[in-house]
Amino acid sequence: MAVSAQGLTFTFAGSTLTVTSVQVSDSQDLLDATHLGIAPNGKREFVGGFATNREVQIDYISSTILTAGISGAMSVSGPFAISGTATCSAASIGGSVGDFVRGSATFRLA
Amino acid sequence: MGVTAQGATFLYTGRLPGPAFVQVSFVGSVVGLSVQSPQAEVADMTGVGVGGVFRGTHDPVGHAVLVPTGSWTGGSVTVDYLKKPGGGDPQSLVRSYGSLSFASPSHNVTKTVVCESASEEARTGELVKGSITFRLTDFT
Amino acid sequence: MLIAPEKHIYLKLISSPGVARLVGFQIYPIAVPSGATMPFVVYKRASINRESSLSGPMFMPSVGLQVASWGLTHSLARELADEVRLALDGATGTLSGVTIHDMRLTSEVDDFLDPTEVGAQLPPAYEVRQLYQIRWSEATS
Repeated sequence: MAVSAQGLTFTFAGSTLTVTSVQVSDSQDLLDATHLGIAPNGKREFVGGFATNREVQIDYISSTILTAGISGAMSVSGPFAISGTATCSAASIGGSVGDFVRGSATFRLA
Repeated sequence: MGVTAQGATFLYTGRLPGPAFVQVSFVGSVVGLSVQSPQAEVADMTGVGVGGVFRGTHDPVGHAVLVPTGSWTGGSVTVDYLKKPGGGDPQSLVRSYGSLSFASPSHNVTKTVVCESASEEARTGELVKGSITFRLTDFT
Repeated sequence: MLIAPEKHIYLKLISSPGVARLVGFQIYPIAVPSGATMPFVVYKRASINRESSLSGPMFMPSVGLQVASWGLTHSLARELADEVRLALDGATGTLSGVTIHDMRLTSEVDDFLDPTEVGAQLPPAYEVRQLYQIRWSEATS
């Protein structure tokens, strides 16, 4: 059954931000172990390599300026939950005529 | 239209030199195989009389006289592989001699060979891989 | 009773000397009561864009408010519309508990109404219709 995203909350370094979007993504570098023993039209084989740390990307409405390079406790709670120590790897904030001050940031969990 | 080598099987089983029968075999996932065919052994029979300097011979200037002896020289098979769990030290194969066979839907090689050299390397972020060179002794 | 953001607009207009000079207190929401005489100002909500975050409504909608200035002559309607513009365009602040964060005049059109075309015994009227985009804070409870 589908789950609504309403109720997701985001907290970083003790501050709760008013978020409009939260995106969590994991990735892993795979090593290509494909060899000649694989039949024609067969599939490539991969083995796990280094795991890329989990990334959390948020969009928020607030005049809070987040600084890249800052680390702190991060937690997402609500329809799904993750938590851990995170480092802000990228942050931006801006304002346009008739709009809210909006920001976005990317965090990497340790 | 090209041909694929996918679906190949590679086997090498040999024995170490000496009176005791010690069998060794290759364990690994082959990712590449290259065969350097033996070269024809050629004798250079070009005489000093080329160009008619001595004794008026009829060999023209600039033409060598090469005669195949009927024998072969060289010839090698190089196998590149990814190390498999359980694959031992490739040095244990070096100096062994035995039968190598590579069979794919498009290509077949079966030769008697001597395992001449082997190398392996491990690098961060990569699988352990190696290379073994076999010297052909079977020229037929 | 919840305070409507339009109250801020109304207070802003009646406290503007330029607007009051022309219309007094004849500033009406949506419809003009019978017996009213021109010139007058009529306002109504034309659109609204409410934004929510993942934790709920922001309670700061962006509202399109249509403000129509009516007069028996075009020059009067035009003068009234200009006074309304001077009172509202770019104005922010808090009045009677209602906070306006951003208010901009985004469009303006002229129009003409001839009631005799439908058989009414009323004089023709000129309208200047303005659209203001307003971000204001609305009641949260």
